Amino acid sequence: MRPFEYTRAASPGEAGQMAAAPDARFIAGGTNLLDLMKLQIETPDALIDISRLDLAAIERTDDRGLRIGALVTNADLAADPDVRRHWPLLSRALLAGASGQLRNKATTGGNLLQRTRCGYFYEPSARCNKRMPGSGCDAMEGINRMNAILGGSSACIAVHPSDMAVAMRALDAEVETLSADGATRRIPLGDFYRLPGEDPSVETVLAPGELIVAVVLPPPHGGWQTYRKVRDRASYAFALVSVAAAVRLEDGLMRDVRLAFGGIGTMPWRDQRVELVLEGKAPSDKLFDEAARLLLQEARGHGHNDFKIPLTRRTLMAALRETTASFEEETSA
Amino acid sequence: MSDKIKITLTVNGTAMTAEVEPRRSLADMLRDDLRLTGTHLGCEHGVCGACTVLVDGKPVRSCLMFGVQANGASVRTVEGLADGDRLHPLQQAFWENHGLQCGFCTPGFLMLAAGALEENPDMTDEEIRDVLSSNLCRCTGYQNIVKAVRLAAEVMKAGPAPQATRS
Amino acid sequence: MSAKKPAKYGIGAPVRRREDPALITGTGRYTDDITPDGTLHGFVLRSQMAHADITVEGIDEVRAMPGVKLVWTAADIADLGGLPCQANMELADGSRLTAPPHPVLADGRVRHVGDPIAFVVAETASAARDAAEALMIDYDPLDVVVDTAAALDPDAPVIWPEKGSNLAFEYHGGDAAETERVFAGAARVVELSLVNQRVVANYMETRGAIGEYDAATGRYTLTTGTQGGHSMRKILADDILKVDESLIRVVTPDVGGGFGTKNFVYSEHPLVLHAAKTLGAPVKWTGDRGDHFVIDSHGRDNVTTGRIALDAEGRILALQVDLVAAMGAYLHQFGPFIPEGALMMATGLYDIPVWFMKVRGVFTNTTPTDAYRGAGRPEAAYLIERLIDLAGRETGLGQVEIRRRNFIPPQKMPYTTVTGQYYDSGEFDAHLALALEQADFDGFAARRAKSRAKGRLRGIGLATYVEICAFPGSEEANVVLNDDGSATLYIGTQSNGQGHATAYGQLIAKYLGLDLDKVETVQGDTDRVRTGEGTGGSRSIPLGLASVDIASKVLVEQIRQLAAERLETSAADLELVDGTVRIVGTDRSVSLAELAASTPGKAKLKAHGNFQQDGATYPNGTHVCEVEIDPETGATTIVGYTVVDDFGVTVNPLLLEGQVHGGIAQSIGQALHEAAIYDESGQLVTASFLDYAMPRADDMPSIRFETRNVPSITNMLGIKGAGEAGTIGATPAVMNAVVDALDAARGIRHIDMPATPSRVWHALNAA
Repeated sequence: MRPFEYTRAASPGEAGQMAAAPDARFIAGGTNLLDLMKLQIETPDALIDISRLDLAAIERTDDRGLRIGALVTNADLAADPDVRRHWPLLSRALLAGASGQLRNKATTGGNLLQRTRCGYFYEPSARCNKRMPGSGCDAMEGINRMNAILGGSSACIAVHPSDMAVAMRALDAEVETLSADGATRRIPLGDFYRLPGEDPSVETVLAPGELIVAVVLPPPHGGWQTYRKVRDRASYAFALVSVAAAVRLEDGLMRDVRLAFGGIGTMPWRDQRVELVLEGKAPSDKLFDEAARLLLQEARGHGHNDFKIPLTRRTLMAALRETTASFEEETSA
Repeated sequence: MSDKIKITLTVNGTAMTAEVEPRRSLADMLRDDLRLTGTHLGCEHGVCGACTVLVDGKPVRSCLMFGVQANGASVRTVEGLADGDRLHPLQQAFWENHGLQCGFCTPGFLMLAAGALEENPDMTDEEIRDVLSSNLCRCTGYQNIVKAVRLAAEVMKAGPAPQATRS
Repeated sequence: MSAKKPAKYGIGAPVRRREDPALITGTGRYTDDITPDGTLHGFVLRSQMAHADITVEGIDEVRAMPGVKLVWTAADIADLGGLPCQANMELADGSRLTAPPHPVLADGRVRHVGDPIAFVVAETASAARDAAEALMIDYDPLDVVVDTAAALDPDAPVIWPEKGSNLAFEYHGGDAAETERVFAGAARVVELSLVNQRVVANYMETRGAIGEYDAATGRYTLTTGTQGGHSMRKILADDILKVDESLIRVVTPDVGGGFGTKNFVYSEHPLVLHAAKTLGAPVKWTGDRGDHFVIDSHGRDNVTTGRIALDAEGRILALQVDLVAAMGAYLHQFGPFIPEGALMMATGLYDIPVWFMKVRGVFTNTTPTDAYRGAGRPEAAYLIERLIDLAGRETGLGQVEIRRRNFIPPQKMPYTTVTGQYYDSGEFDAHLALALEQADFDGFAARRAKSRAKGRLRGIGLATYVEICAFPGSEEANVVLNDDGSATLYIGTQSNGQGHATAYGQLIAKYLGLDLDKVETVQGDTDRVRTGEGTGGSRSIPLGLASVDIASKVLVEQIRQLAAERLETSAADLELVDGTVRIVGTDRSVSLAELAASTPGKAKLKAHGNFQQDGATYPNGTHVCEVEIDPETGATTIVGYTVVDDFGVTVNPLLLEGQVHGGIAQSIGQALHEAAIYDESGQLVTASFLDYAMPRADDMPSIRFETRNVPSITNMLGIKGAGEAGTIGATPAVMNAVVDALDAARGIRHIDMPATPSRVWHALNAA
């Protein structure tokens, strides 16, 4: 690992100022960053340790939503009674996401910023535009079974690996940040990630030194929620396909349909056209199939990952059946 | 640039100071600087769990944490699990139930289970298996590890065993 | 009648391990836990490309970097020999196998990802790594071949031009013409082509090595995890360092798993020794998981076609096998021997009169393959057990009857197979019957119906395996009574976590009337133990314990003689109990400590045992696996697992069961999860635990295990060996269960390992 300077920040404001320097990074749980530094995929000159900042509270907001401090660990968030009762989707996604030891260290903010697990990103001798912009993409013609079928560009088809972010996307989360100049802003998660385009090394809209201080959830959705994750033990624990689904049933009709997907997109994927197809209609396999077709009409396989197209369809159908079935018929994800 | 940083922390109940390069992982710091070689490294990527220690009471992977981040923290390693000559019920149970073979992954499993049982002494068998699934063992097939943790949980709930000694 | 209390020690006692107190308190000592004063640290720079001509630039600049002590490429160590391949076997054309060179550092050309290019030693491990990474490697890429099945294609790039093709060797067994003739006249032929995929040992302790050199005596000391230091010492002395064997000491501390792969000499062993001599300081190298994946020998990687000819009643008339085994880019130490295990054991437990087998070893731009738990026998069992299962399906006889009809019948025992193996003992139908009963085979149909009602596919699979252990040979044991009344065993086997010190110790403790903690086992030091054949092929207990038994008995006799003089009685009246020698039925005794301390000359306090075994042993048994498959996701869950094994004699049931559990876990790993995968450019894309799926606690069933032992008549103590059996029986049992589920649902009769969810799902959706 390359040497670097280490500083523990005393306040969020100070952290942002220090991290505005080129090649400085925040570190909190470090579960992903430290690994990437060992492999010299990330080679920061300076690490700003934010792990002791006072950003680890989970609080209800005035409008019955939830404000989750950026440093709340995945373990604490998954175990939070409010989260388990009102946002069970989030709790399930977190538990599906990583081992206990990692959940104890990984933070809410850090989880959103996880880097891809694409094998070519990790392999120094391979070409990877995310690691080394302009070098090319070996995944395109390589072993790409874990790669994206949606949102890819000719430069990159790496999947965003977070389970939590998929749940957050379905729950309409917003990211609260503090800029190096002291300004704060709220970014809907839908606007937070960038598609790879020509430069996949830039993954979010965050400016240098801009610190995630919290993630804010709107009031509970109230309907049936599920997080279905199909993983293949050919990889450690990352999703081949995951579906976060929340649906309310009113008089037999689907309302407030929210669907987000992991494992298939270059960012946590959501397509509101698909939700609109279902909105206000009675659940049926035929309708679910139509929704799946719409979701996947622009999907593109690259050989090894072609199977994700039918697998996504089936997983979505199963998730929709589960969330719209009566309580007795509900099966565990 | 690679100047060492002086930190203080509590390790197995003893206050310690160490001067470490920022790039040193907690695992390397424990092993190389503090000479606590019971914490093992099996993969360096946070997957195998051999390096599991308790930081402020919670099991974490010490290969995925910088030593400097432990400044001010309380760290427990396998060397601090027994109470003097009296083995921890988990150690006793691993011994009696043949829960280890080569022993390399064992400290990580012990610390993982210790942290998990301290948080939830009433884990079901399924929960035990689930918790233990975050660490890797190549020798035992896990059956005796699961059994040992289950039996240790019962002993821990019943209170300290009077005669559990190391010999 | 009161229940009989099991004996505290001796054969059959469930003694908890002597090794454990250190290992559970963090006071075990593995290689990387040892750092002598003044240690310098080495780093091996490895090839990132699979096949290329290389030049290394910037060496002088790197030598001048702060803290750097030494930078070596091939040219700097030209006086060292290469890594030898010890398989000089006779080939089909009558010639002897010759291996291409395998240099310690790649000499101008790299042939697989991970091939070592340079060795850098510096004051710290990170300085060595930083320096190594500052070297500039100029790669001139060559064409790459990674696919085992395609290695012999006429247009495949040839890795060793002097060989003319990628054919490393070819050897045969059996009678080709007779086999053809029988097949031509057979009522039915069953054929199956299988891939036995490449897997990685993945012991939890990655390798490390510490080299030390004493200029005054000219002696080297290598501290490293091994499966036996003596063979390593000989290779280092004779083949690589070219010094007298007496000048090398190999010390093996605690070993965190070996599984075959720690048997061998790797480049880092001579490098740390040679560097220690050059620099006059200890030199340590610690490999990480990434190193393990690319440089430690891999296992399996065969592409096999097997055929059996059957008569109208379903009896096997002949077996024909064509096996292509990937050797990797070099021939590894035992590499070409491994498929021979598959050849010797090809006929399994069946009475097969005619056979022919062709084995071809091929070069590919991959990490060399060598012994991995089972080493050839799992490949044999996987083929014959998949084939016989398929025959059961195709004939309609079913998986049980086809086996019964073809088992070697009891009246033919002992039996010499057509492949030349002498099965000394075993009752095959009996362990099959017991396993079926334990697994409630008869209740399977009802369980399948229940699963079907839930939308799940259920299958049950068998493997009735046999393997070969404890190859002919010996392992000497020396037992010494110390002045403090404790005993020490010196033996050259090497525990890698199996618990040898407990198994040996419990026998010595019984004979000498000592507590187990008064019996120390010295292993892993070529200076303290004269000879040693190491651990491998499940030999340590059958051979080692027999010698321990002999030595202990001799020592007991000597002690009795000494005590008889002392107590002025007849030796026949003496018993050894509680650390004393006592006149039976009295309280007159002398303690072992007193006796030992007062015995002049110490000759009578030492005893030697060296059991020579002429034949091998053949453990066998039945595995029954039951699976449930979710057709929606293709995920396979093992819902039941039963094993009945014939290990001859059980020495320590705790340890024995542990061996079986662990072996089955590795096999379930291969059957359902693990695969080492190279892409077309020769990159190992599964080179970390992120990408290589190891079985975890929630992947494992609860295993029901029993023994039904028939003592071996080859081994002195009747022991057959148990280190690999679990690995050998489980892959076919699991895969036969998966196929059973798929066949019942969709008529699918073959799927390759690993049966991952996506592979199963694809199979279901293609059918």
